Amino acid sequence: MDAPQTDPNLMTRIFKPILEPFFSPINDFLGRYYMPWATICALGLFIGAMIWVFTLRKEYVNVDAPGKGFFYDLRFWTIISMLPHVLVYLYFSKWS
Amino acid sequence: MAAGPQLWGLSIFDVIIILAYVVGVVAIGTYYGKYVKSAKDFFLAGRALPFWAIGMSIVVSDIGASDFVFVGGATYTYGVSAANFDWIGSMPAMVIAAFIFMPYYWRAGVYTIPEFLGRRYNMAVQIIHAAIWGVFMVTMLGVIFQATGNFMSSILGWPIWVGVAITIVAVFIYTFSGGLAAVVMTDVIQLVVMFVGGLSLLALAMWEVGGWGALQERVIAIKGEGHLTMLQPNNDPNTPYPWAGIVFGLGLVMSTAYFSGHQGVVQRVFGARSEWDAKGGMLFGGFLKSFIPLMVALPGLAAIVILPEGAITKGDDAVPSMIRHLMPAGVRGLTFSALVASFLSSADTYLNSASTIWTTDLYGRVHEFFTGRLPGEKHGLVMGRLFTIIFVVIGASLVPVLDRVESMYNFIQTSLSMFQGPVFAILLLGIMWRRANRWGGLVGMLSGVAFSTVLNFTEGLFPSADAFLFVAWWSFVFTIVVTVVVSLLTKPEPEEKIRGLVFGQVMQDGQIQRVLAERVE
Repeated sequence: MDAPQTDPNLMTRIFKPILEPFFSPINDFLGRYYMPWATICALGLFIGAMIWVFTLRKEYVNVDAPGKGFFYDLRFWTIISMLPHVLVYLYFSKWS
Repeated sequence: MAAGPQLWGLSIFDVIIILAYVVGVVAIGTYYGKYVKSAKDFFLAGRALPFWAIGMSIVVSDIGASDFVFVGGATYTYGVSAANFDWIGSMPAMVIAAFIFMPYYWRAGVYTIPEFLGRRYNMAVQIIHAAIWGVFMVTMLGVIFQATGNFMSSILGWPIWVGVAITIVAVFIYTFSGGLAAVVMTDVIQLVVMFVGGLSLLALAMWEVGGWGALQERVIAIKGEGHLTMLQPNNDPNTPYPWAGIVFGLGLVMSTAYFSGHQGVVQRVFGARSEWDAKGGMLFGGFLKSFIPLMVALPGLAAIVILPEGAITKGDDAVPSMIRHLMPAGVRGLTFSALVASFLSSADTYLNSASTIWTTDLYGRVHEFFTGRLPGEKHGLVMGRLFTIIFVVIGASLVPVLDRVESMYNFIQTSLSMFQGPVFAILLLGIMWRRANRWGGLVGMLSGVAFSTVLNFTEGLFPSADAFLFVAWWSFVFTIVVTVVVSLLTKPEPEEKIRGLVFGQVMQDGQIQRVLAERVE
């Protein structure tokens, strides 16, 4: 499965001229950007998800919860689970 | 291939621990067979699973021994960026899955993802999706049998077929007997063993190297600062993990598709005892999964410092060499039990989920076509167990064929990237956009799979030798566009059909169940 059963050159010969004009500028564009944009995008995924959960109705998030306290509030557990990742990605971006 | 127990440093005491572990798991799993009286018990554990069991089961099903070996090896070779698969490739996706997808799956009371798609779109989408996943899962079963045979051969020196036979017999006995409940409860035990073994290795490695500060100092001195950078440049041909592929391909599409649309993962959620447990199980799984890189990646990093130069010839030998180098007899057996555990849990997941899909979505639809009704609970149970037998035989017969595949990692990732992006696109639109209709879903899925096939086999389109991260992203985008355009050009679905299946319609469980029960496809 590493190589397709059909002749890979055939697929490349047919489709590369059609697709390359589309993907090549995007690859060049992304290739110009690295830090801090890579870290900002990654952190945006984590922080965006945390903020998004707080925009949901509390009743929707916690429907069927076995109790009322914050311990049963899944928004609290979302933050607890996500925050360490934010710190990890900040920490491991400092060498770049 | 057969390196043997001496090379891996296993004593007879370690071998006894590994075998005792396998026998214990089989006994506990088989115990749950007494609770199985219907198809619902077999496939969904009677919808009685608590959040902690769901979370633990999701993690252990997802993490294979290959993660210990290959992720440890990738960290040794490429640095901490290999840990992206368990961090940015898990938690955001599991939050999205918990709060967007799981409530709708759970409320719909379905057994499978294709069944949900059948209700949201139509039978054609259900059958095509089920056929793709059904074939993939049975193939994966063969992949896991083959990998387990190779692994046992390398640590114990046995012929490959002995390891394959032990795995098949062990997994078959408890999966056939106890269904999802047995799978989940044995997963719970396997996760505990995996964490004890993995954290022991981490603690010993950090002790040996002199703590984190000393480790990072020496890794930078030996390999350079890039080895401790999580996100790698996009135009570096030496890294297989360019940041754009990691953030967009893995973080947004592949991981979300996996945790929202992989039958093996979400079947545990279908079996939740409440909607809160369904969501909480997914979040708890994400929390536990955050620890995995500590157990699999950091030992790989420590191997750079601890193992003498030239001690290993390839990165994949890093973690096994660390186990041999650091762990005393007995603990070593426990750690290898953790690796065996991860193989068994992956095999039981694919076996149980493949039989669920084939019984519910393929056999069930054929039965309905000829008789006008779906199979009943007892009938479903018999067929589920029959498919379990059939797939064990097929999986075993695939082992000699798959033994010739050069890179199993590429095989799995390439296979998944062929359909994960398109399937996730129609799942997402089906839940988030009420205007998505059956024609949009059908044309979107088929054209998306065709597009990802073209991208996979057209060389030189992306700045990475392993193009699957980019293929997943672009096939997802393509499918979204096609599904939206075709849906807008064709008639919308009637309001009655999509009630309770689209985000924004927060309805109570009873109402949804009545709507779904009354619905005639």
